[in-house]
Amino acid sequence: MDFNTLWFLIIGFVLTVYVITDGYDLGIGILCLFTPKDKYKYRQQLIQIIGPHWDGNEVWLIVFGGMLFAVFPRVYATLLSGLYLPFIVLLIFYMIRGISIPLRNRYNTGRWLSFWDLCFGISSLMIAFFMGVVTANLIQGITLNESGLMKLHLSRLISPFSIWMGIFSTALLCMHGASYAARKCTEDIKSFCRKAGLISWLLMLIFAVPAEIIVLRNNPADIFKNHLLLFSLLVILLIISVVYIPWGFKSGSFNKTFAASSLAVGRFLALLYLYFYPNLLRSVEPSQNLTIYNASSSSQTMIVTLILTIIAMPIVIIYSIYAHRTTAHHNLTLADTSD
Amino acid sequence: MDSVLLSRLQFALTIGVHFIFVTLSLGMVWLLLAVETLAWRTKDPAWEKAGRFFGRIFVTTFAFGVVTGLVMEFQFGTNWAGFSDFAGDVFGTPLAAEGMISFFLESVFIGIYIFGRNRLSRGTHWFSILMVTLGATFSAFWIIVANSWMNTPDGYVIENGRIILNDFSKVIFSESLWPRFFHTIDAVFIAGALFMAGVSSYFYLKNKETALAVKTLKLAIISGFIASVLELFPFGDMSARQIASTQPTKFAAIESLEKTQKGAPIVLFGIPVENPPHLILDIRVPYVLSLMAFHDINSEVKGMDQFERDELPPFALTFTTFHLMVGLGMFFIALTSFGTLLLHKGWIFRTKWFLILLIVSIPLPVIACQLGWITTEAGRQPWVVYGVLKTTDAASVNVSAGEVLTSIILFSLLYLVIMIFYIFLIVTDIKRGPQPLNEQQEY
Repeated sequence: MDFNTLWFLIIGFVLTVYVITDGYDLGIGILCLFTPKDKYKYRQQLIQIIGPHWDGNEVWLIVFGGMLFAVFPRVYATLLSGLYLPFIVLLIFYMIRGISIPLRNRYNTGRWLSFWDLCFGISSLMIAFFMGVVTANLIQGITLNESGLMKLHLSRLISPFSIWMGIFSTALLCMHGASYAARKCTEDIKSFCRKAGLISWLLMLIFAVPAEIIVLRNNPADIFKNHLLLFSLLVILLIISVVYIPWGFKSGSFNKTFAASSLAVGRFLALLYLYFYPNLLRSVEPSQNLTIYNASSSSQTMIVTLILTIIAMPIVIIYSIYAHRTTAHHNLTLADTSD
Repeated sequence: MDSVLLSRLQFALTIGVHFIFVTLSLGMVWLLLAVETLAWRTKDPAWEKAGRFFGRIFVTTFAFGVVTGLVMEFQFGTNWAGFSDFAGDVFGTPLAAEGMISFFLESVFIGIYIFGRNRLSRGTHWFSILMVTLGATFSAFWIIVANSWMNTPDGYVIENGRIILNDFSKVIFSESLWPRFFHTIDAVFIAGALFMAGVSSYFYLKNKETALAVKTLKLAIISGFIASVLELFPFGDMSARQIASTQPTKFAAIESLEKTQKGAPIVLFGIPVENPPHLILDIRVPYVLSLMAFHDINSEVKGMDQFERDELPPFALTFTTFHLMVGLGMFFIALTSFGTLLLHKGWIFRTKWFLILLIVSIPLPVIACQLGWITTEAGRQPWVVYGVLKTTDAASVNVSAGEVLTSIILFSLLYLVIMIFYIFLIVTDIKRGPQPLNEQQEY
């Protein structure tokens, strides 16, 4: 395996961890829009569950950006400038979401809480939706000009397929968030999480099947021929995870449900990686594709960044697990959330 | 207006707002660590309350810093695709390192710090704020690595019109790294110290928690005094010499040296005028600039006449911001040394006007940091990578002026809201003052 492929895998891994970790807190954000009657109690607890973690989860996105910049600078430059306004809007939703959490907890009046919860919920929803939209556009391929730059018109950005994928990613993350929240919340809120999880599971499934068919029919890497073994493995993982989730929600073994949900999220991304490899940005004109070879930085940079990664990431993973464990021993009680 | 100018304005806006939160959070974190250490070891309820109070302020500031910081990571790609493509081989790695080494550390452990008060052991809780402190400091290190490389690029070669990494240690430890790192860290520390001093003075004057205020004011004044003196010497001196030797255009402009000369004078006062860049009503002291720049009164310092006008940075702007920064730095030395004297004599809590002065001075170091940043960034112009890539060649050619204008409007509105809420939160926290220890605190 060459460095370019190794980096493709590392960056894919970082993106996967990002979507699995920030995915659950985005999902919980979306759930806040649908809380039943006693809504502040529900939201208070949902937000408290992600309180210690959402910020750390978002760092995976920053690291993804940093690595993409360091190792595939041309893709970083082309992608972000080519989708200029969509990414600016996405960043603005991230910012609104980020200030909602510290602000909402400051005052305990209905209007104040409603306003910030709405900001938090809508921005989470929009981020999840936009992820699907951007993914759809990357799947369909973009137009690159001679200098490797792209220009995507807003009219092309929003197409039936991209809206479809947007709803799919929203439902997927919503289900994922529900499975995480169900592990941590108090009994009375568990039934809400279970119901939300089951509904979004169904929605996700309805939207996933046609999406996967489109991805597999428009199959540039010739997955069936070149990666049949990997592909079969992914199919098996899909079946196990997707079938287990509703059963897990019903039976109340939420840790396993969350694991299955993470597997489902990771599996979907893995299929995309298989679909793209060795391309990073697929152009409508295949000769202009940006690949892991023509868009990479020099081998020195790949090696230096790899060494830094090998030193830093194991430490990060160890203390991230430590952080989740430390806080997990102290499950929330209603008394905790009342003030 | 063209998209390059608009992109520059947007960058100045987004990083300027972000830097306000960075200045206060990074400046406060070392003092917070000291307070939490004292609270843990002495079990003194005054330190304990101080830890909770400043901890809460720190957490709020940090959260706003994170929120505004996310934009920075992606803005190189959205607005500066030319730069990202040209210099990504060298420039991306420090950013990736910053994420892996620093952001994870600070954001994971700030979660434990928030969650862990009264839930986890004192040792674990203290350890979490220590890790946050280290993470924040490493983060400053890596971003200054990246920015120093833009000022004094090294360790690269140019192949096929793009920068290629040659020697990574030269990229990290470029010539300006250490002077700029210490200069920045110390500057934000002054901001943290004067924030703590001002807030403590307010508590004392309002007769709130005076036992706490006496302790934190002492800590803030003494550490602020040491930091202010160090900022002049050695850190300011190191920075001046570094700029004189590596970025003569920046040095000539900020010091307003019109002609290359030996025994160059320093400007004590002057009003900058453009076309050609010069000063009116100026007062200068001969030899001092040569002494500062090369530690030799007879050394030759390059003036603005050595360069074409389009090689020089904007003169009036950089001259003004630089001198206001230096003036504020001198004021901090005067303020904190007088405060230390009052402390020593035991008069400080009777000197009401001085306590009021400390309260009024809270925003000044934040302003000084902004001025310093404008000086170094505007002073690097017209280059984005000094001597290698012009700013005009760095922007995204596929982004139109209309698009950038749209994003500037969106960012400006959002940042206005963010600033209003931040100030509102901090002011209400300060007015409410430290809370009794028996209450569970949520952030």
